[in-house]
Amino acid sequence: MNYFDENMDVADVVVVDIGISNIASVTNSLVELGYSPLVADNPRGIESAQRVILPGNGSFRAASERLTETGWVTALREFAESKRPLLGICLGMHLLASSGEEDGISEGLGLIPGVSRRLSVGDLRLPHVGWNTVDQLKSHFVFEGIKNGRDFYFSHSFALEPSGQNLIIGTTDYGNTFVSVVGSKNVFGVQFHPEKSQKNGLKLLSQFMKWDGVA
Amino acid sequence: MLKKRLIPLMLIDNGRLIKTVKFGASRDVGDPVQSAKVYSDQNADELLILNVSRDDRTIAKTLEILRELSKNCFMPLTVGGGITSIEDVRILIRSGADKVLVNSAAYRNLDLLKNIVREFGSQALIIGIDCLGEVGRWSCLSKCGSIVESIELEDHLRRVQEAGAGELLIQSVDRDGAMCGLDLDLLRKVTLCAKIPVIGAGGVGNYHDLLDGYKIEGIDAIGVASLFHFSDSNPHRAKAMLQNHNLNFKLV
Repeated sequence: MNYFDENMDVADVVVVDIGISNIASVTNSLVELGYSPLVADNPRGIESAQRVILPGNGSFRAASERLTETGWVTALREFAESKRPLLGICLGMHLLASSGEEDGISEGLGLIPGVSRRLSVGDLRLPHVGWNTVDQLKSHFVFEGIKNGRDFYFSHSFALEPSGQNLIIGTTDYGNTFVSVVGSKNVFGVQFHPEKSQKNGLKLLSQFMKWDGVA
Repeated sequence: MLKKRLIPLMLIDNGRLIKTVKFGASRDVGDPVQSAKVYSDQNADELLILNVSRDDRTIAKTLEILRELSKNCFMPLTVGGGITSIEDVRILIRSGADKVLVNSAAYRNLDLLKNIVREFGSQALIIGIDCLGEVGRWSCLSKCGSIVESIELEDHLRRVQEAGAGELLIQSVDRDGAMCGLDLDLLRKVTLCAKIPVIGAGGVGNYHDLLDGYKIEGIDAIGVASLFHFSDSNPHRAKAMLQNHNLNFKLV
């Protein structure tokens, strides 16, 4: 695993490490695809990054506090402004939202207008764990080469509810239909774990790595 | 639609993949990293890796295996056996584990469970419960089946769920390695007390045993060891049979 070093050349991709995520899974899958990801535990390396992945597990509140303390909030907002591709995975997708409702309300990055809320699943069990279908509602470069209706690995109790229909790229059913893929310009988010979703997950990451950030 | 999961269960002793019978006598199965690669190629839905060595109750060996294994397996990985602190969990999750499984510590250290949930979320915590007995009279066993706990199964299920557990792995000790079918009464009992996903294990000897297990409402996943380790069965073949009975597995 490479940590950011001032003397390094421009990174293919920077993986944000706020200390609570399964970083190795993300970096291993990028290495498998032939890339050299840099893991960054502070935002210094981000100016020169071509693209950024924000992974995450755990609680929205804890993560949002960590992002603020470590200076990532400003850095990620500036990065998103620069039109370079940004991918949020699972909790990383929720953090793209304006706010989250886990352990009270806390602020998100505000890159995707919307709120992260507990899934409403009726009598079904939570967390929603396992392989479930992603219905692609519109085509997007990041999903190119992946057939509609394929399964990806989910593991979560909360989901991002974007405030505009135009932000929804894909949905999934569990009790109710929830948004499993969002996109707004150069910012993209997936609820499932592509790094854990075998062939189709690796394909998605490989597409993200080739994406120019134009929706 | 959420799919059923079929999970190879990999027991580790001193760095080797082994398989026990009734949590006792064991056979060597091979190299865990190579075996995991094969299960990955066979599109297993997930892997459960448990250190069952009675001499080594630390995470050191499993961590070493996890680091190698996660370079080739791009599927969910759960690691358990010998987890006693939040530091253990931090290093496992940083090193490629998606979830951790806690068994013995769950009887005496509910704070550990709560801390795991607070830091990593419910979805990252599986509680393993090893059960022995017959209908209505199951005991919970800890320390790889060597200690009988005094708490009733129902009470233990309630306590770990209150602490925030995200999933349960229910193993039948007397059926372990016996390939005589799952303890369906035990699994029915647990699914009635559980509001979280339940993985059943212990005793799968053929595909019909799997079918019987999946028919129980609330059984989302089944763990399999002997059947896959020792026969020419594999997750592909098992799913091909189960799909004929209207069970749905992931589309790849």
